[in-house]
Amino acid sequence: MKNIFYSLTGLMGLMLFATACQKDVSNRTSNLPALQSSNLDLNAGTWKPVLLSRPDSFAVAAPVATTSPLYVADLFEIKALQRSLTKDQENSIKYWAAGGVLRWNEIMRGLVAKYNLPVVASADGTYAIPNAANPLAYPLFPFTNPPYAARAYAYISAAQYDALLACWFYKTKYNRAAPYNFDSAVAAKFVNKTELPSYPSEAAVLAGVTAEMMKLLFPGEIGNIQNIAVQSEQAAIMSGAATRADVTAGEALGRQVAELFIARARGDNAGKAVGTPTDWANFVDVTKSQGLIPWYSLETPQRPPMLPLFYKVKPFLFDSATVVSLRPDSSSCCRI
Amino acid sequence: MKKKTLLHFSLAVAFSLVAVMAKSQTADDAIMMGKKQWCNGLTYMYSSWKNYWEGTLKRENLNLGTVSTQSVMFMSTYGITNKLNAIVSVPYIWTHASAGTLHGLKGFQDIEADIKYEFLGTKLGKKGHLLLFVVGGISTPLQNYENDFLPMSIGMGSTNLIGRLTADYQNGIFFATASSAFEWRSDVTIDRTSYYTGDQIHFTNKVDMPNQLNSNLFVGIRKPTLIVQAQLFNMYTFSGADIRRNDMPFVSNQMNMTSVGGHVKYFFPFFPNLAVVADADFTVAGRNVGQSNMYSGGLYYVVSL
Repeated sequence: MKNIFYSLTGLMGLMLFATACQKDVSNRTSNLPALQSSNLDLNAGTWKPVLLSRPDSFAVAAPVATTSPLYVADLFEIKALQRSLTKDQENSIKYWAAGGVLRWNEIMRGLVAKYNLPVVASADGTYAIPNAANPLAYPLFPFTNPPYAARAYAYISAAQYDALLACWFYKTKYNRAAPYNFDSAVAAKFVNKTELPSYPSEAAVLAGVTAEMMKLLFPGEIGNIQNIAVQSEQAAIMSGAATRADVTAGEALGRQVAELFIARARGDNAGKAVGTPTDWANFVDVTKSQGLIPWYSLETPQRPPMLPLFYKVKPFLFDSATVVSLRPDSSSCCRI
Repeated sequence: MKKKTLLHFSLAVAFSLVAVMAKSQTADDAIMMGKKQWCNGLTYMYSSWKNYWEGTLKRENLNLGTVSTQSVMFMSTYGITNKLNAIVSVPYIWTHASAGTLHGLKGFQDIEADIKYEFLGTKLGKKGHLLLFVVGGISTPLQNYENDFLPMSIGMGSTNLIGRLTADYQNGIFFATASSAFEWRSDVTIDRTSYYTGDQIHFTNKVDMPNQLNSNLFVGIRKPTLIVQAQLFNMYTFSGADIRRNDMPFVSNQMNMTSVGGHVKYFFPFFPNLAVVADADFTVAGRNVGQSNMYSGGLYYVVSL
């Protein structure tokens, strides 16, 4: 019996040891400290936008006076929230305090990874093409292949850039002190206090512009994105950095800037980049006629080319003639 | 996507093969080497699948064709006492896909060391005999092989702690063995800075590996010179995501499988230190694994020190 005892004790010991070695895989950005700006860039409203003609293309009304009951009510909301923050709320503030651009970029990367799956071949050997009008039906829209992902990152980043320029323009113009600077009863919770004016809220501008862009780029995700946008805005309020009015004005500005980019995106030829079977066959014929070996798929069944007309998509920073001039010449290419 | 499975099966196969005069053993059977007896063996295994389970969806993949895994495993068992054995195994593995563009990989996989202890032997009924064993083991990669290239990878890359309980009942020439092992698996490192699994992106190169339960049931006849058994193996992974539609498998997927098969071990009358073993196992159910058929054969040689 002693043997049984020792054996079972040993086995239990091994299991306890194993259980004790808790697995702790965590994201490298999970516990980032709150953003510490080296420069508030208060003149960013004068920088050159990507697409906006002027930083004040979209009007943002002046904030109500700090003596207004509306403003006092906004401050009261923050104080009430800060008195009873739950652990989840604290974690949400800390998460967004690392930087809204960083977090939205991570969310984008997650979506690109989620949708980066090539469609499975149909029974007849063809491949269905994702349909933006029906994004949740298989194959899911979009297929975030490299061209699609590059364009999505570009649009989101450029739209965020312009929206933040406009945001900074109004921040400087109205120069509304952040709640934690205006009212000593409002704390800077888990964020670093700065002198950045809070109207309109940069967190809400980012939330508004990004969520609106995502409606176009990831139409199957808009519900999730909307939730995340609200969380980021709520975190800004709970942290003491922004009032409800700062957030409302910021989100509206962000969405308006997004509309400008969305209008451009609808006409930039990306929707036609997938081409047609006629286009695909034409590529082969033209390439062969030049004495070159055409690209062909090594998959079974053969997969059509991936957004082959993407070269016709309108670039952001140069014109279509520059696109042509940047191409490598075909003289050193693979001849038949 | 069944490298790990492969090892388990090779272990099961190789270890349950040898018998030898004095008997031999593996981690999951009820056979022990006598004191100062030393058994060494080599087993060759061929396993292949054409269909696999993408989550619960069974499918084929024309860009993989038939994926085969072959291995040669060296196994060594030493009888410290009649009731305490030490077992070490080292497999060399190579993989191949008959279609598509994925290249096979090859190399030494994980070394495994086990201590097997017979802690109870008692009569049960008029002629029956019951044995109970406990096994503690560890396995770890012998080299930094590529673990993030399933299904061509040769292993998962985790270091594992294994605790096993085995019960064996013999009555005349008939016997039954039931065994189950809990396998705690360490995190693994992959050559990417981020990956997507379990409905979210992870910004790290570390992957949390779910633990596993490996169980087997043998039923058959066991004589001093011959063992013939039917066998059932089950691998269950406690968590992990399914392979997404048309995605590659991932190290931490929930890989489950059940196979049925048979095993024969024979000792040459003219050379009783030598045993030959053969196994065949067929996967009948699975999740995120290939529906593999496995065949193996080996030779074991026992010396007394």
